[in-house]
Amino acid sequence: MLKNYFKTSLRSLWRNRLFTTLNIFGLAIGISVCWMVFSIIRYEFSYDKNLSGKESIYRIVSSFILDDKESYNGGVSAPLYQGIQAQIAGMQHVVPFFEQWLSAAVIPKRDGSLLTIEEPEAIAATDSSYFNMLPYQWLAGNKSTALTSPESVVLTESRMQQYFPGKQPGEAMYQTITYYGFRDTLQKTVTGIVKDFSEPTEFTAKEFFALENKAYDLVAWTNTNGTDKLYLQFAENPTPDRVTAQIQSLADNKWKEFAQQRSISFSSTRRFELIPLPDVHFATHVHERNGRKASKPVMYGLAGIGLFLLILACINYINMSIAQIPQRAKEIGVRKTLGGSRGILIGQFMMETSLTILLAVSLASSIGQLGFWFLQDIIPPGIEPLDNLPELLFFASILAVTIILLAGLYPAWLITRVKTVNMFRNVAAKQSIGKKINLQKALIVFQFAIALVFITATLIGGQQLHYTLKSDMGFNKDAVALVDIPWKYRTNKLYEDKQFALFNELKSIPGIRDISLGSVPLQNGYTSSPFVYMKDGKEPVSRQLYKKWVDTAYVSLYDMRLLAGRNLLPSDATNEVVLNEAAVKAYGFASPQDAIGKILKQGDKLIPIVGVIKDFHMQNFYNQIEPAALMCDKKNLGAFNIKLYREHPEQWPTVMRSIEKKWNRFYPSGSFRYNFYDDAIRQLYTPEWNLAKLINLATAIAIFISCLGLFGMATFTAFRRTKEIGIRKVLGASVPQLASLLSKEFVKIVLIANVMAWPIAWYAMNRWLQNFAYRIDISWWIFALAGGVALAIALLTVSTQAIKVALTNPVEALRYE
Amino acid sequence: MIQLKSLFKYYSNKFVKTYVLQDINLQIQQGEFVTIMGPSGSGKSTLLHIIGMLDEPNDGEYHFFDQPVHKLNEKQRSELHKNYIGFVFQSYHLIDELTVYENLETPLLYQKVKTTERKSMIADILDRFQIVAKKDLFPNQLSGGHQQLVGIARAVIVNPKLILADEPTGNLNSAQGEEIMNLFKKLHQEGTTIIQVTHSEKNATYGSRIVHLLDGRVDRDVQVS
Repeated sequence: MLKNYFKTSLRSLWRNRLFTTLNIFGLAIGISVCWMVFSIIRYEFSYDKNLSGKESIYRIVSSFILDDKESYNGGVSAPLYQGIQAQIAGMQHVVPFFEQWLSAAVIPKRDGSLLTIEEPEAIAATDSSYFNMLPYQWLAGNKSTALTSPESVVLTESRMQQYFPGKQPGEAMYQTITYYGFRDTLQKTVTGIVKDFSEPTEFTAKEFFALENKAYDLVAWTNTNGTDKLYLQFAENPTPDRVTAQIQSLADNKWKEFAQQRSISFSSTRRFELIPLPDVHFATHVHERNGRKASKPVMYGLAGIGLFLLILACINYINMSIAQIPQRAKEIGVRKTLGGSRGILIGQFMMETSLTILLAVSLASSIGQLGFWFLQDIIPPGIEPLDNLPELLFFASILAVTIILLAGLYPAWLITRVKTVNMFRNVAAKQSIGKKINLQKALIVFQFAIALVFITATLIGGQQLHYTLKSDMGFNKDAVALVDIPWKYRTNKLYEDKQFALFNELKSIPGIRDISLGSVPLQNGYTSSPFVYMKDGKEPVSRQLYKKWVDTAYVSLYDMRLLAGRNLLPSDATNEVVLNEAAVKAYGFASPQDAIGKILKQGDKLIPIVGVIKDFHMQNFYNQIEPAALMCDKKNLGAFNIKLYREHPEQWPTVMRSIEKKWNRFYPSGSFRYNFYDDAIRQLYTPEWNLAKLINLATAIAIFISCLGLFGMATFTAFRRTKEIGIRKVLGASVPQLASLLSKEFVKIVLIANVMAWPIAWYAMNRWLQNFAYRIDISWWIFALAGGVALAIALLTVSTQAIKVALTNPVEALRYE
Repeated sequence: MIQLKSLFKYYSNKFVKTYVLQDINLQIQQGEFVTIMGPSGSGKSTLLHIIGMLDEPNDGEYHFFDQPVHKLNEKQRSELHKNYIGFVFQSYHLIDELTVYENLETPLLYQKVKTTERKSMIADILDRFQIVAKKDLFPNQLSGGHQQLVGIARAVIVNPKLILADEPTGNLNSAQGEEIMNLFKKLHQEGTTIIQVTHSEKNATYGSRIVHLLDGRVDRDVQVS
C-alpha cells in the first residue's frame, strides 16, 4: 500500500510540476530561514550552558547616573573584590578578573631566535579562585599551585600552540615568556596549561597572570575601569539582592570617605548590579569593548521572522493544494468508488505533502548554506551551518512534521470531504470547492499584509538610514581621511611628539587641501568632565561637557560655523575653550555672543570661553547633541584629519601613498593605517545596516512567497471561471476586458491587505524611529508606494494567468459542459 | 437482491424543491441484467448512484441483500460497496497517474488483498481481457475502447456481485461498443448481476429487463425476450 501511495504521489507531483516546484521552493525558503534562525538562537543561548555551578555565578557591573542618564560600565573599582572578600559573607568565590593590554609577547624559539606576538589579546590577571570557580581541564600543572607566584602565567591549549608551536603541554611548562607592557617589561613562567572551553562562553581569556594582591589607595575606590571585571560565586542559594545592597553600602562608604578626605563632591551616583551568568551574554545595556552581546528582543524578532515566513510558506501550500482540488476531483472520486476510505485517501494526500516537504527540506539544505554565506557578516562568528548535527536533524524533523501537519491536514480533509458523486460532475465539484475560496482569500490577504509590513519597513528603514548618512551633521565629512597614531606609539617615549613633525611634513604634500590634528567630530567613544560656570552672586552651574581636543585648523577643515567669538589660538595646553550651542543653552547664556568672555572652571583651572560654534553631531543619531567644548591640548592630539580634494578622488590613492612614505620615516613601516570618514560613520550604523539587510531579504522572501500564493489562487480562479469566460467571449468580450475582469478580484485583495498592514507597519516603524533622537517623519506616500509596489507585483503575477484564460478558445472552455 | 421502496431524491434551493426521483419502487433479483433508460434529466444516473451507494436518497428505503442501506452509516456503506459493487463509467475514469496494472491493483489494495494473491489476480484478469501487453501503459496511451476494457476489468477484478455501468459505450465507436457489450453479456452469463444506464436501444437488447424512467418516475418496466 505504501509503495502504491508513494508511486502515485510522485507521479502526481510530477504531473503538476509547476505547482510542485513553486511549493517546494516556497517551503524550502521558509525552512532555510528557520534553520538559520535556529542556528543563531541555539548558539546565543548556548553560552556556558553546560558550565557546572553556573546558577550561583554572578558578575558585578557598575552603572553611573549623571543628569538622569544611566550609563553602564562592565567593570568595577579594582579594590572592590578585597572589600567583598573581607566583609561580605556567603561567598564561595570572589574572582577578580582584570584584563591586561600588552604591546608584545616574546618567546624564545628552539633555534634561539625570538617569536614576537604583537598586541596579544585575551590576557587577564586573576587568582586561583578563578580556576576554583570554573571547571577547567588541566593538561599540565594544577589549579592550586598554578597562580601562586607573581611570575606565573597559565595558558590555554590554543594559546600554547600559538606561542610554542609543536610542543606538548608538558614541554611548554616552565618556559619563559617576556611581555612588553606599554610602560614596563614582565618576565613570566608558564605554570599551567588548561584546555580551552569548547562551548561558547563568557570566559574567553586565553592567558592568565597571577594578580598581585596589593593594597589600593582610597582613590582606587572611585575609579572604574571596564576591563576590571569581578565575578562572584555564592556558597549556597544565591541572594543577589541582599549582596547587592551590601556591596552598595561598602562602596558608598569608601566614596564618602574619599570625598571627605579631598573635600569634593561627586556629580554622579554609582549603582551596582549583579547579573546572573546565564544573562551576561544578553546584557546589551552593558557596553564592552570585547565580548559580543546578544539581544533577546532581537532573538525573538528573528524567531518571529522565521515563523512568519514559514507560516507564509504553509499558507501557500494550503492554497495551492486547495487550488488543485478540482483537477484532482476525478481521481479522488474514482478512488472512492473503488473502495478507498476517507482515512486511506487522507493518508495518500499526506504522503504527497510529506514528499513535497522532504524535497523542500533537502533543497533547503543548500539554500540555507547559501543564506549562511550571504549573511556571513551578520551571523555571529562561531556559528557553522552544520554545527551539532544531531540537534539540527532533530530540529529539522520536528519542523518537517509540524509543517506536514500544518500544511497537509486541512487540504487532505477537504479533499475527502467532497461528495463522491459531485466529483464526477465537473460543475458541481467547482461549486462545492468554491465555498472554500473565502478562506483562500483570507489567507492571501494575510500573506500580503505581512509582505506589505515588510515592504513598508524596508522603505522607512532605508529612508532613515539614508538620513543618518546624508543629512547635515553640522560638519563636512566628505573626502576626509583619518589616520590614527597607534596607542602603543603615543605612549612610547621613543615616538613622543613625533606627530607634530609628521604634521609639518605632510603639509607639503600636494593633493592635501587641509590637515588637522584632533579627535573626529562624530565617533563612538567620548570623554566628558564637569565644568563649572561661576555666576556672580549666584549658585555655580556645573555641567558635563564632552571634550574634543583639536588644533586650530580643525574648525575650518570640517566647515564648522563659528557663531560668535573666534577660533582657538595655538597653545600647548588648555587655556581657552570654544563651546557648542548646546553648551551655551546648558549654562543658560542668553545668546552665543553672551557666552564670549565668560569663565568656566575645571578643577582649579579657570578657562575663558572664546568662541561658540554651531551644533554638530558628536554621536550617532540615537543621541541628542550634547554640550561640548573644543580645546587645545597638545598631549591629547593623536589623530590626523586629512582633507583631500573632493573633486579628484582619482588622486587619493597617490596622496595616501605619499603620506605613508612620510609616515614610515617617523613610525615603524607597516603600521600606517587609514580610513575615510564616510566609511567610519557608516560603520557606526553597522547594526542598522545589518538589520536593513535582513529586512530586505525577509521582504524579498515574503513578496516571493506571497506571489506564489497569489499565483496559485489566480490559476484556481481561472479554472473556476473558465466557463464564464467562455460565455463572455462568445458574447464579444475582448481580451483586455477579460483580463481586467479576472484581475479585479486581486486588486481588492491587495487593497484589503494594505488596510490591514498600514497600522501595523506604522506602529512598528514609529517605535523603531523613536530610538533615534534625529529621525525622519513617516510620510503618507511611503504607504502609498508600498501599496503600489505590492499591487504592481500582484498584477504582474496574476495577469499572466488572466491573459492565458482570456486567450483560450471559447469552444475549448465550454466543451466541458 | 435490491429492493427500493418509495425512494425520493430532490435538490432544494432556498425556495424550490427540484425532484430528481419520485416514489421509485423497484426490485432487482440476483442474476438480472437490467437496463435503465430514459431521456436526459429523467434521473437515470442518480438512481444508479444511489444503488451504487455513492449518493443517498432523501426519503425511502433501500435494501441490499436484506441490509437496510438507508440506515447504515458511511463507513458501513463503503464497506458494502467495496465488497459487492463494481462501477463502470462512460468516461472510463481511470486514474491518469497509474499504469493499467496499477489501476487494476488499486481496488485490491483497498480490500487489503495480499501481495502474491494480488499479483495472480491481476495476471488473471489481464489475461482474461487480453490486455497483458498494455499493462505498463498509462491510460492516455490507450484507445477509448481499451480504456473502457481496463475500466471494466477494474470493476470485475474484485468479483463483485453487482456491476453498475453508466453509459459504458457512450464515448466509444460502434465496433468498440459492441465488443464491450459482448463482454457484459458474457459476465452476465457467468452470473454477475448488471445494471446499466444507456440511451442506446441496441445496448438495451443485451439485457434481460428494461426500466424506463420519465421525470423521475418509473414509466415502464419490461422484460426483454
